[in-house]
Amino acid sequence: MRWHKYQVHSFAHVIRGIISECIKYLPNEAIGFLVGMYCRWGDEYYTLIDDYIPVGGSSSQYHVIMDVESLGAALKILEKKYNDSKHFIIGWYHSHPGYGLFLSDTDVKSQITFFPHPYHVALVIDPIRKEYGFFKLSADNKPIKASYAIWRKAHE
Amino acid sequence: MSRRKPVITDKGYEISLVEAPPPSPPDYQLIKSWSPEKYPQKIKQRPTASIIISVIALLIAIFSIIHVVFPSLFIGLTTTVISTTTSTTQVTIAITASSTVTTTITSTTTQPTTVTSPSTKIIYIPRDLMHCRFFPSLQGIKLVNLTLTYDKKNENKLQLLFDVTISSQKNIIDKKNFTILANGNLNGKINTVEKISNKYRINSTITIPDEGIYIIDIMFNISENENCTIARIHC
Repeated sequence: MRWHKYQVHSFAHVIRGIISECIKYLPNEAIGFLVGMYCRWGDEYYTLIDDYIPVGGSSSQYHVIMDVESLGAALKILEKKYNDSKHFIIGWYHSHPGYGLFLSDTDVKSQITFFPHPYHVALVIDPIRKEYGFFKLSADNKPIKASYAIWRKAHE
Repeated sequence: MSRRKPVITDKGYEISLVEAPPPSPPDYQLIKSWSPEKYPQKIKQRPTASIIISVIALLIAIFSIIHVVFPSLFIGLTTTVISTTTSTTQVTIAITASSTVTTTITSTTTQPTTVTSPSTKIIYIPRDLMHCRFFPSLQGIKLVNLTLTYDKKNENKLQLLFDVTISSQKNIIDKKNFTILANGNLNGKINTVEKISNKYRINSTITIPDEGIYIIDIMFNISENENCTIARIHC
């Protein structure tokens, strides 16, 4: 299996939207799901993220927990908006307000539990430093940075 | 030219694999990208001549040190050799000292702490001390006490006075070891770092441009490239 040069592809409006959500929750952390598709073109595979679903929950500056109601609501949105069997929850995002891009031990555990496949990604946003990065798990479940490309429609 | 319509090719147990080309020009414009290839790890190879010169300089330096310590061993050498290598010797020693300093910083205690605030601002100190947990050698840095005061002449000038307990084999904790940062980009000024008993008292000021929410991080710099946040104030 060969990955595309950019393992993750997404769009400027999606990233902008997620960053706005994270800013809205400042100084607390924000969390949500990444919606997209697992794609292949030729012999190369990649993850395409074309939407996101913010999820409510309890949060502080240093942690965020999804609550069951919010999770259910998010899944309903997904079902209603994308009834095409191509889109699914392909990862998650959360913010690290002011403390940089990395997956903490807790984040890695969440990734292993809920998003263990090679096409699953975690997006970490630091809305204060205005940085973001995508992460995946390596074969031995260590967090690794995933290559990405952010696009926008030409002449948009 | 538009993208080809995605076709579902493989309905697996968990997800559908979609056959579709990734976004690309001319339909799409690349805004930002990151890949490890874009930032290759460059290993600078030192030229052979440079290595030879370094080795010769090192040998001369060693000889000069020995000469200083045991002058009688160098009766047969000319004084010229010794005098030209004096500066090399000093540089070598300085580098060694610096490297020792970096590696000998260790810390002891683990619990965070009491916070006092004479001002009305709210102060939060994270119980798990933020990033230091990611630097095993620094997990024990203890912020003993934090005081936040205003400069009365200028309400936008915050004065932070805090004590930190850090054990170290050498007294090498100084201004360079601390950074005060507001909202990730406003640098504070470390005025003094003073050692009192087993703790360091740091006096610093930070000027914030206007009213608003500020997240002020107190960071401990392990080296030039590594630091960890030991406390965060939200005010």
